[in-house]
Parts: sequence; C-alpha cells; structure tokens
Amino acid sequence: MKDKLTILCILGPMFLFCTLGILKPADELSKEERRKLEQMPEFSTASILDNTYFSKWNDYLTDQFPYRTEFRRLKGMISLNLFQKKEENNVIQVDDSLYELNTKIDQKSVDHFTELLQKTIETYNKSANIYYSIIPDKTYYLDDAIIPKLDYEKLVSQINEEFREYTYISLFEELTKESYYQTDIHWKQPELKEVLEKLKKEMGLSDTTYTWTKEEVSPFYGALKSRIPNNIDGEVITYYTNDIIEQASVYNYEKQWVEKVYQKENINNLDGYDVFLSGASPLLFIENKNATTDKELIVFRDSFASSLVPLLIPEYQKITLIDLRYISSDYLKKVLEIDWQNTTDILLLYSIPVINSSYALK
Amino acid sequence: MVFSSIAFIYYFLPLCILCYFLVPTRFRNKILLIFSLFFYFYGESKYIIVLIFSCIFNYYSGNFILKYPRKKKLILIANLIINFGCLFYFKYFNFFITNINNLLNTELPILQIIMPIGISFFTFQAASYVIDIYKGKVKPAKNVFDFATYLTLFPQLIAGPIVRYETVAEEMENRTTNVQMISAGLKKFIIGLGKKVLIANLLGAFATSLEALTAPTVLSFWLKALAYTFQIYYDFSGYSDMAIGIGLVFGFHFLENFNYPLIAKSITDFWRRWHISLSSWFKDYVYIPLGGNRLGIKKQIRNILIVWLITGFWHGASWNFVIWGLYFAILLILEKFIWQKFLDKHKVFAHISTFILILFSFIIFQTESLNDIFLTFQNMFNFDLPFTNVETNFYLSNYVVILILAFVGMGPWLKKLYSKIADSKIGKKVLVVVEPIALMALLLVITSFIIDDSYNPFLYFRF
Repeated sequence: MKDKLTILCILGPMFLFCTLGILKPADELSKEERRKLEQMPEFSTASILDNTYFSKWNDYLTDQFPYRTEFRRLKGMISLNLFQKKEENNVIQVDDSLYELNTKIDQKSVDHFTELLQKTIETYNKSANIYYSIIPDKTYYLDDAIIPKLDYEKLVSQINEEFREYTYISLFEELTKESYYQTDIHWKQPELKEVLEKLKKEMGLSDTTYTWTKEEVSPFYGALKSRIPNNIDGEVITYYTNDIIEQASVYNYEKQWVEKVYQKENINNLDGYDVFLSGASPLLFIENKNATTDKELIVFRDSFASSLVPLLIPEYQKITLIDLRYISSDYLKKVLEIDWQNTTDILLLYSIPVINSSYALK
Repeated sequence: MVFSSIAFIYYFLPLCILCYFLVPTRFRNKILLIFSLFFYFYGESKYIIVLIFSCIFNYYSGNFILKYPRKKKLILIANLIINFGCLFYFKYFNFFITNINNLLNTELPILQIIMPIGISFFTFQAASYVIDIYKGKVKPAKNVFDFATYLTLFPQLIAGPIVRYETVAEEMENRTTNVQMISAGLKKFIIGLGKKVLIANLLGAFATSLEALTAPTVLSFWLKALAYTFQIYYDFSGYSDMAIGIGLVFGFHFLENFNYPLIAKSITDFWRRWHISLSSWFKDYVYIPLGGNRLGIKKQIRNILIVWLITGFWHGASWNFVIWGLYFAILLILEKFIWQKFLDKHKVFAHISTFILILFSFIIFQTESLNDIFLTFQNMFNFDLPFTNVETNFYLSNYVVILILAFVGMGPWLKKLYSKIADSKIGKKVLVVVEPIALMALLLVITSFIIDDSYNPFLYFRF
C-alpha cells in the first residue's frame, strides 16, 4: 500500500505538471517578476553546436512552468518561515518596508561612473553651472548594528574627490526611510519637499511658492515586492501637478512624439513608476511654455529623476533629461535638439544602486 | 541535462519511465539507450560523438581481447592508451602546455578545448570493462547496444557513481523491477534531489555571500570552509542518491557511493565512505596492481603517494587538486604508521580532528590559486582580523537553519529515528500515509526552489 501510494505521490505530480506544461499556452511576460518570459527557442544547427538551444529550452520550461507564480510564493514562504532566512533574493523586510541588500562598493563601477560623466561634461559643456547629487538607497537609513550596508561615507567621498570641480548638493539629510515606497527602491514625490528646497537653494533658483494639486493613482507594486513574500498591499502613487506642468510638453526623442509629464495609465505597465515621465527613456526634452526665465537645465539622470524633475519645470524654460543607460554619450553629439551652448545648469542626479552598478552607462 | 532541472524532473524522467514500462521487456535497453543519448545530447550536443566513439571502441576492444588471446595484452595497452589519451587531451593537455610554457619560457599554443561532460566517469567505466575482460572477471556484453546502454546509462553518465560492468552485467541482460523497487528508487531520488536543491545550493549561496564580504572576519573564513564542505558533500552525495534511485526504478542495483563520510573517525575511514566507487576503482586498478601493501613499507608509501597523486589529478587539471591528493596521501601515511592507535583510543578527538582535516582539504579543493589557499589558512588563524562583524552575523543568521540541517544530515541519526518509528506499530501505520505525502510535499518544495533559483551548479560535472 505504502509503495503504491509513494509511486502515485511522486509520479502523479510529475505526469500532471508535464501534461499541464504541454497543454498550457506560453505566457509572454510575468508581471510579478517584471520581465518577459522565455519563449520556445528556434531551432538552428549553430544553436545546437554552441549548446544554447537546449539551454534556452531549460529556461523556457522553467519560465513557463504551470503555476509558476504560486511556486515562487511557496519558495519564499519556506525560505522565510521554515528556513528562517532573513533575506530572499537579496531583499529583506524591516517593519513594513522592503530593502535591497547591497554591501560592497564596486570600485570599477564607481570609477566608470565618474570617468564617464567627467568625460561627457568635458566634451559638451564645461561652462555651465555643474551640480551633482547622490541619492542614497533606502537601506542607508536602517540600523547599522543589524543590517550589513555599504560604506556610504567612503563612496561619497570618492565621488566628491573626482567631482571636486562641480558643486555637491547632499540630499542624505533631507530624506528618511519613509521617503521611499515600501515595496520599491524609488522615492515618493510628496516626500521630496526638503530635497526640492535644498536643490533650489543650492542652484540659485527662485523661492517662488507654487500652488499644487495632488493626484493619486493606484495600485503600485514596487520592484522589490515580487522578490520576497510579504503582506504589503499595493501602494498609492501620489504626485503634484499644476497648470505649468500640465501645459508643459515632453518630447520623447526615442519615440519621436510629444507626451505629458504624468501618464496615469502607465500604472499598468510592468513598472508602475512609469507614471512619471513615461519611465525609462534615453532622451526627453521638457518645454515650459509659461516660463518666466530663459534658463535651461540638462539633467544626467537615472529613474529617480523622473519624479523629481517635474517639480523643477516651473524654474526652467527647457529641461533636457539624458539617461546614459539607454543612449551613448558619444551619440549625443548627433542630437541637434540638445542646446549645449544655452544651457545654464547641469545636474548629475544618480542613485547609489546605479553608481555602484554603472556598467550600463555608456 | 541536470537532474535538478524542470526539464529533467517533469519532462524527461516521466516520459522515460512511461516509455520504459510501456514497451516489451526486450526493448527496454534500447529505450534506455535512446533516452541516455538524448540526455547527453541535451547538455553536450557536439560531444555526443566522443561518447558514441567510446561505446563502439571499448565494446570491440573487449571482444578482440577474447578473440585474440595471444595479443590481448597489446590490445589492452592500446585500448588504455586511447582511452586515457582522449581523457588527457580533453582534460589535461592545456594544463601541461601552460606549465611547460611557464617552466621553459616557451610559447606553445593553448588549444581551445572544452572538456566533454562526464568524460572522467565514462572513461573509467570503459577502462574497467576492458581490464575486467582482460582479467577474465567479466564476459563481454552481448552486443554493442547493450554495452552502449551500460556506458551511457543516464543516471550515472555524467557524475557517477562509477558503475563497473561486473556490478550490472547480469542486470543488463536480465533484470526485474517491482513496486517496492520503484517506490524505493523514487524515494531515494527525491531525497537526493532535496539534498542537492535545499541544502547544497543554499549553502553554496552562503559560501558565495561570505566570499563577497566587504570586510572578512576570522569567523567568515571558517564558515566559508564549512559551507563549502557541506555544499560539496550534499551536492555530490545527493547526485549519487538520485542516480542510484533512478537506477533502481529501472531495476539496476548500483553500489552506494557515500556512507556518511563527514562523521568518519579517521582519514582512512573517510575514504572508505567518500566517493566509494572512485576510491575502490583506484584501489583495484592502481594500488593493488602496484603491489599494494605487500611489498614492504617503502613501496607501500610509494604506492599510496602514486594513487593519491592520481586521485587528486583526476579531480581536475590544476595544481590545487594535486596538492589536495598529496595532502590526503600524507595524512593516510601518518595515520597508518604513526597515530592510528591514538585515534582508536580517543574517539571524540578522532571524529573532531578528522572533520577539521576534511574541512581544510576542501579549502585546497575549492581554491585554485595556491596563494589564495595560503591566505585562507592564514586568515582562519589571523587574530588581527576581527572575529566577526555585522555582515558575518547577518549571513550566519540567514543560513543558520540550513547549517543545522546540514549537521543533522551528515550522520545516520535521522535514518535511525525513521527506522525506530517505522518499527513501532503506530509508526508503521502512520507512515503508510504520511511518508508518501511528505515525499510529494518535498518534491513540490524542491520544484519551487528550482523555479526561483539562479544558483544551481553541479560541482562534480567538471570532473
């Protein structure tokens, strides 16, 4: 009896999932994991010879396994509850918030970051006012005695040393762990009041107080949520807007169309943070038709800038956002729309995770 | 193809089992051969030709030895030269060229050679087949397909255990399987898979985390050595369990390859328990033919050194493996001639000191650079380093349960507890239902870890 039951209990699931796997249509993407899933590989003699064909089959079968999402949750539950692991997929939960662990400074990456930015500025414009800010990841605000963290002081001082000719605007004191989404690495726009004030003060911008209207869109599931089991609900993305922002136009160089600063419908994208300036874009030009100044700003940036820059729109006639992860610094000379000569301010706004893993910057 | 993959567990294995049991008995070896060749082709497509060559070449070598008894020595020598020549070419050629270049300051070209997976295992199996025919210990396989089925049998093809033909000769021609064997085989497979996926992989990740510490500590060096020792044990013994289990499903009785080696009471005892199929291969085909311990102490020491030099070298074309082999040779010689009696008298000390010596051996095993080996040993006793720090503590607490599981699983204690429960009246009744369900739950948990895990190497593949 026991032997027959054992065979049934082991071979049963094997045959069941085998059949389901064959019958199940392939999913294109996993919203939970925010990535495209592997599709059935195409056969070629070359792919057989270099062993990539069957390797892709492995990925395909794993990605398309029936109830993949549920199995991933099961793994997380076992890891955290049975194995008492503190982290899962390099993410930890402290109180009601998720944090990505990052303990080691990647020196080569930091060097690459500073050298690339310096070279780019040297090439295109060194006469503008050049400012830079480093955005700490939220792990910075956790207890040093329990959670292993980067040596932030060392990292910042290294960058300060390399960027000594530019003006540093520290934002470390203007943020707290509550400034970030619980399930995401990004900061929340409503929590950037002090950041904005500091930037405006240091960059010599006006101290005009604008009237803002608060808008909300939900649910927002951050990038960290799917990497560790948790009971944190979908969050709300709150943003501020006004007539100036609503009337500003954003020219998307890659897509070659004009779009709005905020796009509520993007909450349904793989990354809901795309609500701000349509997410990952190599090059954006924001024109402020109501500008009372002729100042122009170029921001070399990562995704954190998407939610901050809208608040700077009233201060400039034109803002150019360049994301070197998606456009090469060498290519910039071919982009005639970038008005290097009339640019008054350049802001380098990068988060520590990108600085410490900057190889995608070209 | 690796056992711990969705492709194997949920597609290859059930389809193979289905086809195997659907066809008449006389076609079963052919089914196993087809599936085994596909298994190898899936992971190492272009080198399938090397495997097929080995099947044909060794089958006919065995036949020629019987057919031409006067020239059998010549045939054997030619066979061994070609078998080990292939192994040398794929595994050791570049190592020797590199060392010649370094030594003589020459610039001999390094070839772009990728080693066929499992070549060390199937070469040793093939060689033992031909040697055993030469010695008259076994009869040749009935036909080339039966021999190819034996040599390519997918459960043990790429990472052992090294199954000698004599072990399965009879079963190749005539074997039966029944519900008890299939059940026991599947159970062993699932437990082996669990050892690999739930313990070895996680402790491998632990070792990797410790390797990447910003500020290593004395404790982190010790933990890394411990994590790696457990990882390699659970990885390899898990693989062997899976191989033996699948073999049993198809009616083969492979010999056990591990017998709780980490609780050994001496290094001699350790090698009776660790990778048994390899150590017994070297004993029977190298140590004893060299004279073993029958020709006096000096020659015995020489023989031990030769065997362990080759054992080390078998594991990889790198100096750390040579040192690893010699490390064991020296310990075995010292044990045999100096401190075995002391160990016999002090059992607790014997177990602890053996465990620590094994731990040290795997530092040499896993560290390719000789300088890094030295630095690791230095740091393990470098009390200028902090003993621990936040990072070390964090990762220790992150993996402490897995470490405890690994400690508990390294001895026969769970097996004894299981037997005790199974022997009791109530336990026996409860296990009828609980055991199959627990195994199914284990399979599903393992599946969840495979689906969501990027860290899934098989350490012994590279050998």
